[in-house]
Amino acid sequence: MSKNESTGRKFLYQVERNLVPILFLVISVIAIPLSGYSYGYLIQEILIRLARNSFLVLALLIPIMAGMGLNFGIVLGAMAGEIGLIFITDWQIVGLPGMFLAMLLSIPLSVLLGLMTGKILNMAKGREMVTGFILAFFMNGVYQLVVLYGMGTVIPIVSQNLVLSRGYGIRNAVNLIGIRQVLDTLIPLKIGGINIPVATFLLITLLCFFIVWFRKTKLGQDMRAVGQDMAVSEESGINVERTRIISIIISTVLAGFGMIIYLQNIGTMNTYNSHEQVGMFSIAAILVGGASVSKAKISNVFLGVGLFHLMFVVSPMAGKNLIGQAQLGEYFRVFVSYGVISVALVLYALRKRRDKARAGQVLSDAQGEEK
Amino acid sequence: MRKTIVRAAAVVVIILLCVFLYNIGKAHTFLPENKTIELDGMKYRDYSEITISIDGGEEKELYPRDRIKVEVSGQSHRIKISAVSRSGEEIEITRRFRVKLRTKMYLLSLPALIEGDDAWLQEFTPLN
Repeated sequence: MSKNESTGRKFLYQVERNLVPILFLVISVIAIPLSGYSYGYLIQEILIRLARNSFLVLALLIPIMAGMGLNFGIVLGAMAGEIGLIFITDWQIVGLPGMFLAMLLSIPLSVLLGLMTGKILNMAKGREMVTGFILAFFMNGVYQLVVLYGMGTVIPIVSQNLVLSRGYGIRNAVNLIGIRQVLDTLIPLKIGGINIPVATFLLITLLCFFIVWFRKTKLGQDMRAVGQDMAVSEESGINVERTRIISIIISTVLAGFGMIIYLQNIGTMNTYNSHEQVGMFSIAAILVGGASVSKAKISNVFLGVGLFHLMFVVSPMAGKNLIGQAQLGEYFRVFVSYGVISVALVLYALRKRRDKARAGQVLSDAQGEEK
Repeated sequence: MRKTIVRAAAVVVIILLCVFLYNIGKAHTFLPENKTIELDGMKYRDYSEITISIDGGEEKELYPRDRIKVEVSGQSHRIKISAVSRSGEEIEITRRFRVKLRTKMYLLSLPALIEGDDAWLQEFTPLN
């Protein structure tokens, strides 16, 4: 931005950069009084949802750093996490050991899926997001084949509560009572009637520290370099394709863990649908937090999850009180989550074009002054 | 070569960790009961009242002919018993015991345990 630009233009520039979070903040401020919910209830809900979703959304940061955009492939990690959960439920491993065992079981699957995703995305450079999106649909088919036909036949499943009455395939809903909220209630803390899931937040904090540390490592620096310019990175001796694959593998593994944390909070797994919306909602949340396809910070994750879920909580009741139909709010939820991704992507493209034009203008002005 | 060794070691550590988590997280169902029982010709009469706590969990009261269900995890357990006999005598016992990894259900005969019979812990197979 040139120095002689007026303060007003600078302000408008900042507003434009943060248009999505501002939009959400405005909608939430209008919807909160309409919903009629108490502040205590809203704070409790937001805390629960922050604990439930933040780990999953944080999994998106590393691929963004590596210039691979928003990783719709986290759905694959979520599937790996779910398979881990199916196994521990079948083996009747409960409590924290069960949750951590599910995480460990998800790692090899996540690594394999991440490796495959990374290789495919390397073949589709510049179109990573749409490729990841379609890949998630494809892998959903493979997942359903394995879970619906493979489990109970090729893969032994002992528990009759898990298997469909025909003798193979996993039931639609898996009861995770053995690990339900084990992490959330590990360190009980109640302040002013509000339960705080301390252990979950500690785990999320640990991941934040890992990301901060990882950015400073050689691999992290390589990823940032690759994210800025692949050609220059290649010239400077960085193995670009390998670096990109590693970023996707890390993201997929973290997504698997995130899905397990998410489902331990809910306590029930919808075998064939739980993972489907995970990518969409996580990406919508990070975009609401002010992140873009090429730049995201840890603060974007928490702001995004907070604002996105605040709207999720208040919109059905606000819709009901305003129009008399709760369905409007439900419609609004889905509409907004898809809409926000579209708006954020359009804004990103516009901003990129405008920044390019502005840089050209600055260069042209500088050349004019030299003459 | 060094890289391969490190990777192999990491895999071994993860597998060992999985085995450890499996052992400490495996769920078992205990069915403690306060019923008159005959084991190898010895008859153990039920108690007027028995209070038990397994692995430091919630205390539960059992009256004559009561049987309850307690869900636990892991192989090593500790049971704390406070009982009142029919003659009014108060007894307190703490006992540590281990269960088989693959057995899902166990029947705990509390009168037999209090009397010191080793057969107080029996595998239980529910009827389908």
